[in-house]
Amino acid sequence: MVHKLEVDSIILEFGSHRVLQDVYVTNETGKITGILGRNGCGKSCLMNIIYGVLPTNDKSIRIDGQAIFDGFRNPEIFRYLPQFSYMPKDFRIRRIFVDFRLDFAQFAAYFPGFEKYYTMKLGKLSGGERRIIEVYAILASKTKFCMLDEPFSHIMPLHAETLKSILTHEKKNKGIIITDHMHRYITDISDHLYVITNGKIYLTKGIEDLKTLGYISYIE
Amino acid sequence: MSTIRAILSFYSSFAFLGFLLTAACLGIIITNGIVMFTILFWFKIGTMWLIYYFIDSYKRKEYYYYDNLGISKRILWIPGLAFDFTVFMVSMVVLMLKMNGAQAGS
Repeated sequence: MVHKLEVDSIILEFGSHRVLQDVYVTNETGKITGILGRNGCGKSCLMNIIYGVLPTNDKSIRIDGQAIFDGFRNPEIFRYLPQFSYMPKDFRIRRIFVDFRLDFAQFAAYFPGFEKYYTMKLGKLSGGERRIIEVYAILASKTKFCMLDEPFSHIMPLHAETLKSILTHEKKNKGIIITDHMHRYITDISDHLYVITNGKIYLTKGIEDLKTLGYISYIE
Repeated sequence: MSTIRAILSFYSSFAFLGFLLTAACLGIIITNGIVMFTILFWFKIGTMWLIYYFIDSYKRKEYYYYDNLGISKRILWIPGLAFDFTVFMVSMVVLMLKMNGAQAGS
């Protein structure tokens, strides 16, 4: 069954500074929605608002036409990868996979070098390795929609390519909203691509729009 | 099951400190007598608030882990703090009853 997420009428202000105004974003099962924007333009704030952890007076978030207020309370509907490391470092990898009801063998098939880490504590891994586990836990676990804030940060190119293939595989089961400064990864995998600039969000039609909107300076 | 394990893991981050403070309060009652109870009661409440304040700040990012499992901050905190306070109260009452019994016996 296809599920549709609609986000609109979002306004976010910090004092007199309006960060986001009249934002409209959609996503549905089987699609990846990419969001790009300069540092501080409000990408992470937008995800936090959708997830429900950043309160704002003006927002309308609907899934299949039903209003959602606190997405973070229901992992069956939403899962969210924040841009920072969020897993307790004293947890063992085995325990994390049990908590998220994931198959470690399947994960190890994607990332063969991780087989030896199964019984190790997360804190023993490097920053990039930790990030892979954090991204995979959100991306591969059961939910209707997942939002990924900078999933490619700290990840080496070889693993980033694997992550791209997992994203393409996982979108069959869920809708994915993703943002990252590695914009080539995002443009490669996104079905819809938005750019936030000057507090407004624009649906782009092609990579040329990224230049027009001032996100990139040249097209390769 | 995973909720109980999450609560226990989270509680373990401040359990030792909670027990240490309770043990210190018991020591003060033994050396200074039952008259100290009211002060120690409010001392325990105050230290529980301090524990909440610092652990909440220290573990702010980890709440996203539990949110993604459907476990709210309230579910993580209330059982641990309630257990810590119950241990404090029960041990205080048992100690004071023993001290009263010993006084009556002599």
